[in-house]
Amino acid sequence: MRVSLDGKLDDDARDLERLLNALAPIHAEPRGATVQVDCRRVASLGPWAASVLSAVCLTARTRGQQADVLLPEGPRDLRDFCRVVGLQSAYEPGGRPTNVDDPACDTFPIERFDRATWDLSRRVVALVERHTVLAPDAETALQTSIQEVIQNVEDHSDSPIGGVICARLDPRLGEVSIGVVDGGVGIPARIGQVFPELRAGTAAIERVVAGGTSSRSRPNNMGLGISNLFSVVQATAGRIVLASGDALAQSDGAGPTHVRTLARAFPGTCICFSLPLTCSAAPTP
Amino acid sequence: MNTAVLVISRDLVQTDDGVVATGERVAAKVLSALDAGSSVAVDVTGLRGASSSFFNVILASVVQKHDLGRLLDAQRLTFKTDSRVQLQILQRSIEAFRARAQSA
Repeated sequence: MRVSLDGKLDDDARDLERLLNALAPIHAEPRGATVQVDCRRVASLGPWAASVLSAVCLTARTRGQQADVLLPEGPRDLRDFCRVVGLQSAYEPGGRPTNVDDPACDTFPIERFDRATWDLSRRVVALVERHTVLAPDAETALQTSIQEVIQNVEDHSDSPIGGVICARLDPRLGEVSIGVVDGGVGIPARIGQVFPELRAGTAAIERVVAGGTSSRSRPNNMGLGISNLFSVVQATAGRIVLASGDALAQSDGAGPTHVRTLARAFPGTCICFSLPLTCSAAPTP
Repeated sequence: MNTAVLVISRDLVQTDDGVVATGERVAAKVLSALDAGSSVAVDVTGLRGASSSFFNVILASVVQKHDLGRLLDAQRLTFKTDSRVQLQILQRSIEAFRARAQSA
């Protein structure tokens, strides 16, 4: 089957939700099916969408499906981003995007991970620090946010692909956008194993955003990771979208979190956020 | 008055580790000092990315053998942080463990 996408797939809640809904038919395809995501007419694409596309295709492949993305044919900067972020090479064994080590590179390429190491979150921060000097609080907010998300993947997802992360710094907007997606069981299903009444609808997402509800995947879990992440993002007036199962939670700026039902369920967990950067000084040329 | 044992967390980080593994190393030193009757100061300054899992591991090890609330109230267990984010993450974990102890 082929899913065709067009228009914007920017780091925006509406674009992300539209993408997740459009990809939904793929999750129902049988083992061995051929699935293709046609992005040739996509006008713009950011790390949020890149991480979702990569994770969906990688997960499809674990189900014995042949999954592929037809890359955008639009503006050069869009094609360059897709190449640098590794949208194609992310699931071609041995593939590696170019320009990763270029000091001017503002993109953290798609990377699969199974463990929430200090190194992974540190390298994303290092990308940002190539371009700007982060104030201590901004650096802590950024690295802690990443660490909370990737730890959540390691602890709870049961994802056959682990997680996928990518990021991009936008110096013009003064923000960094990060996408972390897994192909696991999803938050409602995981929470529902301990609290069956939370399995359906938005209740599980509401509870994890509020904090204090844990699936106890690890004995020390207190159910604070997602809640901490939302708190940090909101404290910095950033943006965040969490989609898992049949629910989506969203916060823009320092405003409240809104939780709503997704038109079509997402089987894993997708956490995408953008943080404004408080710079203490401009980088030394 | 005994001088508190200082545990510098960033010295216990191994880059390829996750935060949980580092937290376990910190927890071992904290517990060793508390079991010996000492006070402990846990320094987490410079430890960017110390998430709730990091603090939860330390607090969970403490509560297995000690009354966390009493230790904190008596300042036998203290934490030194260097950012508002870090302090907020820590405080939320402490509150969660205190609440769990009270409901037990």
